[in-house]
Amino acid sequence: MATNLEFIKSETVNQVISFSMTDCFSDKYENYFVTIQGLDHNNLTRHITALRFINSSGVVTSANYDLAKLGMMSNNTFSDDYATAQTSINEISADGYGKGSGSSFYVYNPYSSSNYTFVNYQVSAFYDIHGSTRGVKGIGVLNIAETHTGFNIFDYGGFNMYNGKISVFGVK
Amino acid sequence: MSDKSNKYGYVGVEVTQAFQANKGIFDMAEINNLVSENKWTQYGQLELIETKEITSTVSTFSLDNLQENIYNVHFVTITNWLPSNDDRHIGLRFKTGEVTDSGYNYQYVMQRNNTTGSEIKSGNDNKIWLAYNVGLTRENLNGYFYIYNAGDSSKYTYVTSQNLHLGVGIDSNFLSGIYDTTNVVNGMEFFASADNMTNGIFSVYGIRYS
Repeated sequence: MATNLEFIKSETVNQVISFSMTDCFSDKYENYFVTIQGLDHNNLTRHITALRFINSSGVVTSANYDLAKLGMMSNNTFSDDYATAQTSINEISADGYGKGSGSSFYVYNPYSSSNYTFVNYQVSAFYDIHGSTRGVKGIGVLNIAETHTGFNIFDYGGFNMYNGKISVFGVK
Repeated sequence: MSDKSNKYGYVGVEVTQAFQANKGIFDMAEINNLVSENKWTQYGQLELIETKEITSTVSTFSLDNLQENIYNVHFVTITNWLPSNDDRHIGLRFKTGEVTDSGYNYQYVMQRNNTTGSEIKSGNDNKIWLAYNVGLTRENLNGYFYIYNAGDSSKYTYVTSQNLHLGVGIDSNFLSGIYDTTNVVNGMEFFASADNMTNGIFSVYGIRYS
């Protein structure tokens, strides 16, 4: 038996405000690894992308997400951000000026109907033209014990996302 | 591959084979050929590209095989890295065209935690520091980092990392960094902030289909 990352699916994100990665979680794996690379908003600056999960009814938009993250800027003081009862886990990715980005995250228990769904994530992004790196280390939870079959990412400001590739792997 | 009329068990039909989409009945030779062409469904997409070890005192140490035309995301592990003298940082630079870029083309932000927390950051530097003050008591550093977009000539190359060592207490270094040129990256170089390095095992993996 392989003990490794096992590729499940990959999709391209281009010219959409919201994108759903459907049917990527199943009873085959308990935990998942996701990469997002290249994602940007063409030449727009300082954009962040948020995460939601998908259940049998669609994207979960209720205020059941909690998060805590460290926001790191090369031209500013770092910030501790945390919140409860949110409608998404924000800043699963970030970008600026069409320079792409890199982020990855683990998802724990998404398919379990008896456990909450947890995520930890890390982001590296060129954020604006003034030479600022935007780095994020974060954790989040969807505190509903139900089966999730996929996830959704969307631009937090309602703008189109471009040039991204999302890949999902099962962790054996 | 041998020419057979019943290729993959189908008669008179040419079947396209691909990962997660194999069809037909295969003999061992066919499977071996499809494996070599990455068209056979076999799981394990964290693929070891190379492991190299520092076996003598060196000033720089390189990994020059990224296969960036295949992998969009790389995973690198650092095991038991040690500078030749105490209290040195570990630096990272990328190579383009097999030449190390030591220009001011790097940025990074790092949260360092030990007995207190501190912010390490630069918006214009000639390297990325992956960790600070390693080897205060001759202790090794261990950690990992991901590289994103190394082979993309239209995007910057990004790094996220976590490294730890025993310095002023247990010392964690959480970092995000950028190589802020659109050069294709095909290698990387490690070095200490002063003097040399004496130990370290580096492994680079490609994450296929990332």
